[in-house]
Amino acid sequence: MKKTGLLSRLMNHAGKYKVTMILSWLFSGLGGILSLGPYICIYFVALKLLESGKNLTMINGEQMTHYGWLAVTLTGLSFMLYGIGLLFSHLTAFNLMASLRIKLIRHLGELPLGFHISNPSGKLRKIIEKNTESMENFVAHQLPDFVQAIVTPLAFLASMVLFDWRLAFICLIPIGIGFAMLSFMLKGESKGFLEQYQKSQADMSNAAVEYVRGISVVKVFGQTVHSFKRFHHSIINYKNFVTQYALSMGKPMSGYIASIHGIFFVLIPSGIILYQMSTNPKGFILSFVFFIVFTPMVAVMLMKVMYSSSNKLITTQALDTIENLLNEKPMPQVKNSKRPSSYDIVFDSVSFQYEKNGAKTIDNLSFTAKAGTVTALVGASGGGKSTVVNLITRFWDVDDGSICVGGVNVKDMNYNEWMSQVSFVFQDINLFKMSIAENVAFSKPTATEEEILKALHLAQCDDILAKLPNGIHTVIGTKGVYLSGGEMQRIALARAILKDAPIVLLDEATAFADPENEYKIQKALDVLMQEKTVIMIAHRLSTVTGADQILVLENGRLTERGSHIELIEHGGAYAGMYKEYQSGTSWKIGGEVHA
Amino acid sequence: MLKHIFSLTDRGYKNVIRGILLTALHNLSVMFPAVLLLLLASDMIQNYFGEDSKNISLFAYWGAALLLLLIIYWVYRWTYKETYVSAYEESANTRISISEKIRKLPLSYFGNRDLSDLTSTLMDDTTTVEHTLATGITELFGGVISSAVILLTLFFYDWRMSLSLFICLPISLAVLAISNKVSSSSNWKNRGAKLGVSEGIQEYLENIKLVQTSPQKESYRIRVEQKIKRVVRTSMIYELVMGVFVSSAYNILRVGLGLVVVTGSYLITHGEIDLIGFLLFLFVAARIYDPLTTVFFKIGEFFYSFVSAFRIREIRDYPAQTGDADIKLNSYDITFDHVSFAYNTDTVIHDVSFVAKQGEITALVGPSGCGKSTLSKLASRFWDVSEGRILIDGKNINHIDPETLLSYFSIVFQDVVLFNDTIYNNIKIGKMNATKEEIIAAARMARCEDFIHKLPYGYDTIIGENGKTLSGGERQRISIARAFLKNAPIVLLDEATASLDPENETLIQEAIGKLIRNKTVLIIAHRLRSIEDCDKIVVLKSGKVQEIGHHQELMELNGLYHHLFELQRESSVWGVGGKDQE
Repeated sequence: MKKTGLLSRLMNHAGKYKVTMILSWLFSGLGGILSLGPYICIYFVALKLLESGKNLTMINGEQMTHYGWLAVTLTGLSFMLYGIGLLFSHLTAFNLMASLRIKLIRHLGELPLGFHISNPSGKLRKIIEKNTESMENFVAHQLPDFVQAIVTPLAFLASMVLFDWRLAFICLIPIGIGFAMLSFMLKGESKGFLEQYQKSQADMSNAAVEYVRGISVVKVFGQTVHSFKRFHHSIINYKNFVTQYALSMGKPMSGYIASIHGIFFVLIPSGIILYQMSTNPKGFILSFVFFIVFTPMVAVMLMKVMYSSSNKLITTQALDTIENLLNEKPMPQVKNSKRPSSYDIVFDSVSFQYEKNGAKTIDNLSFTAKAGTVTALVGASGGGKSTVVNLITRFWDVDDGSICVGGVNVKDMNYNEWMSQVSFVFQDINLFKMSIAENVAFSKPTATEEEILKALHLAQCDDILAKLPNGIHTVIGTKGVYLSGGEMQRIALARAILKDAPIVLLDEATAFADPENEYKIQKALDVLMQEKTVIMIAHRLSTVTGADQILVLENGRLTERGSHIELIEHGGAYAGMYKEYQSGTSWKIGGEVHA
Repeated sequence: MLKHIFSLTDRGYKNVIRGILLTALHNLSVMFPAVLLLLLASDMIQNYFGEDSKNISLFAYWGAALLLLLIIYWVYRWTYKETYVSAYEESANTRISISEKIRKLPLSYFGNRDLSDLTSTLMDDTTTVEHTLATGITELFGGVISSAVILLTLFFYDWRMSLSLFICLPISLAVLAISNKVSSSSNWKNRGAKLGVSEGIQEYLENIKLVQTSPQKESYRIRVEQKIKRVVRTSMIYELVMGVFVSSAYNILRVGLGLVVVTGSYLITHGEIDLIGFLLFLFVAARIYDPLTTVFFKIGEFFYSFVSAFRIREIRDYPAQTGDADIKLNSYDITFDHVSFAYNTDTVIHDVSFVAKQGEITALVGPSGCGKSTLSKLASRFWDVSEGRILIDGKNINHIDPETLLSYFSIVFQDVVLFNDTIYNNIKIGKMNATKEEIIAAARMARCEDFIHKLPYGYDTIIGENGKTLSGGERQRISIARAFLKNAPIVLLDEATASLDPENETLIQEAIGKLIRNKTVLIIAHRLRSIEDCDKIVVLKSGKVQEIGHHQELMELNGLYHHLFELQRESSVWGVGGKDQE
């Protein structure tokens, strides 16, 4: 994959816009060739002047004027062709960008959610937006310019050879030197420079984030200097790196500039010598004038070549990242999806670890959650509670053992169908910038307004609706519409209630809710959980006492199982935790905890 | 003016000026060879017509050419060094000075601009300005200066020819100026559509869990795709409008080429200009327009960077919090005296008065949004009060330097900030000169040890960006360890133990209890059971003090506190499935 060139890869992604891409080069190239026209006109004006010899007053003014306007027309025409080329290239580029973005979004939508948990949304969005933008820039501007920058000097060279092949050949020398310098610089750039550059920039950027985020802490502890040191260090590092790099490029860069502007240096002596040797001095002078007029263009063109080539590296890298993302393996689709016969969830010797050589997050876990019952997962953080839920929803797939629902392995079910059987309420709630009604109906697009209102009512959201200007049609995130965390949680619960799926997965999080919200959330949960297979992650013991079975997880292993009463009688870890909880905790000076 | 816009240092300003002059010099240096070539051509012509039969000196010309070549090389090297190196230097200075300024800003500032916004100013805006300084400004003004020099020289040589050469310049500029106006509506539309894409993609990714598991997956994704497709149209329209204007401006400028030929033919037939003069203008006409067009494009870039420069300046000019750094506090009662506070235009604290006494625990409770956290942040000058005053040891805290004031505070917030460093160093933040024993003791008290020992390198484990390898409870314990280590006379606990499991919570509360003897303690808690024993409970509602008293008094009052307490008792015994446990 790496071996194919950037161009053919871009062509691949362009799809039907391949044609416009090629058209853009064609027009841009034609425009480039035509841009030589005005110079030729000027040459002809000079020719007329020289031909008239000393009798300048006898010059045919009309003919000269004709050339003048022809030059203007040709400039316009050439620019128009270039403009048409750019239109085609932009058409290609914008569509290419859109199709890459859509491809990425679709693909990301098919990846297992574990991928999304380990890749933050900010980073992915940056790839989708910025990397495709650099494709756009490359295809829209750099490519047509590059074509022009190659074609025009060739046309220029061809016409120079027509006038005087010796001078043409000599002019090639500084151009060749220029290219040598350029490739030297590009080699330096590709030789890990970009990587190092990006690394030192990323370092600085990370340090900046940490610095800004840490300002409150840093202020509280009076450690301003300490935290600043790192950031300061990264700024200076970056500066030194870019400065050093810029300085190391100083010589070749100046050499490049001098050689593309330095054609005169070879043109002058060879002009003089050839003139003195020539048998047709008038003809030679004319050719020489032609070269004087033409050579400045070379510098302009070669500058364009330089910019396009240095962008090529960045673009290649951006495309690499995009393609790597597109090559991430999506969740395998199941052909003959099986339907579960019931909603019992059975874990059979399940093991799982996040990292290949890491510790087992779930270690040989077996249990059954019967349909219509509540199973609570308790245990210290890091014990594997959330992982159990994530495995049921196939955010990750188990390494060993199996998870079956109604006798069917979750891996053998069509993912979308499986997900339609599950409602979940996560800790991190995000509502869409849509109306409340649309947010609730997200789980069931066919829902009527009545159903939506009923679900909201059951989720204790009446007070929220009452204070919103347009009731359920109020768009969240618009001006003045602010919902607290507890309120958002209740709306998310309405969504789950409306979905009415037979399996409910709960990551209970009322820790930060105030009493009023906590009470209402609790009531909404009671509605949601009725007659469902419920698996809940409990952070606080008060809510699990009524569960049909409680599983105590410790380091991924099941250490205790039973109902609240059973576990209390058993007198193990759960009983200890419960006692701790019961004893109540109150702030008191002196450390005697009030019971 | 430049100095102000880009908030340059004196040195930076000098460097920019030097860069501009050098760039102008470079532009001129590459024009000189044309003069030399022209002289040669003129020599050849005169030689050919036999007016001047002297031989053309190869060595004189080549020598001059060599000299010019060296000048081009050295001037460019010099320019390159000056502009790039000084631009990098300047942007490093800008980054450092903004970040120094940032930490002097009141934390209220950070409420208005979020993390990504501020870091983007620190990183992206300075980079934009850096580019403008390195190439934009120097090429723009250098180009203007060199063009002006050439123009003036040509005017002295022959004003009529020069006039024909440049007469279209003002028209061309006018077209560009109009284009900015005309295109602005399509530009805004285009920007709006682009913003829509950003938001759409971000929302899609943030909600991917929900999206993937929803029956609406397809239709929702199509909505995002439509946003992406819409940008194709708006961008094309914008490019088209801009393209038409820019190419018109470009072409109008080049009409000058035709005019030069026309005027030249007229003048030469009337004997008012000689052959060489005419040729000179033809050569100039062939090469002067390209650099001028470059200047045009740089103008856009230049104005574009104003936005970034403005954002940098905004931070620079923001008033910093001030106060006396030498004030010493000896006792630590905190008195809220008719305090009001407005957040932007919303008044969130109304006329609050109470005293948090030294040696007592004062709890702030109330529904979310009642202003509990705001009050604790006002006491530590994270924000400054709008009306009224807050006194500690009888001194108005507005007159105390924020860092001095904070040296008397130990604070544990519910949102914990950790650094990408070792656990050891993260705790050490609490007290930089702490000994190893002190740090380990603090970690033990905050119940950090049991998880630290499980980590691969114990205390020396690096915990990732903002401690992302740790759980919520572990992060909070580290922040508590910091507070233990600092051991300051005023303690603010904002939901300090909310994400802990019950066992650790009890043990930590016990440890804190030992620590806070004879200190002033302000506690914010949702779980009312945990504050039953506090000396004073301040019940807030919508920024106003509703009730003050200890638990017993408040329960007897049968007001808001009583209501909240009952609600919480009910939900805590409810359990799942509505099965009542009582």
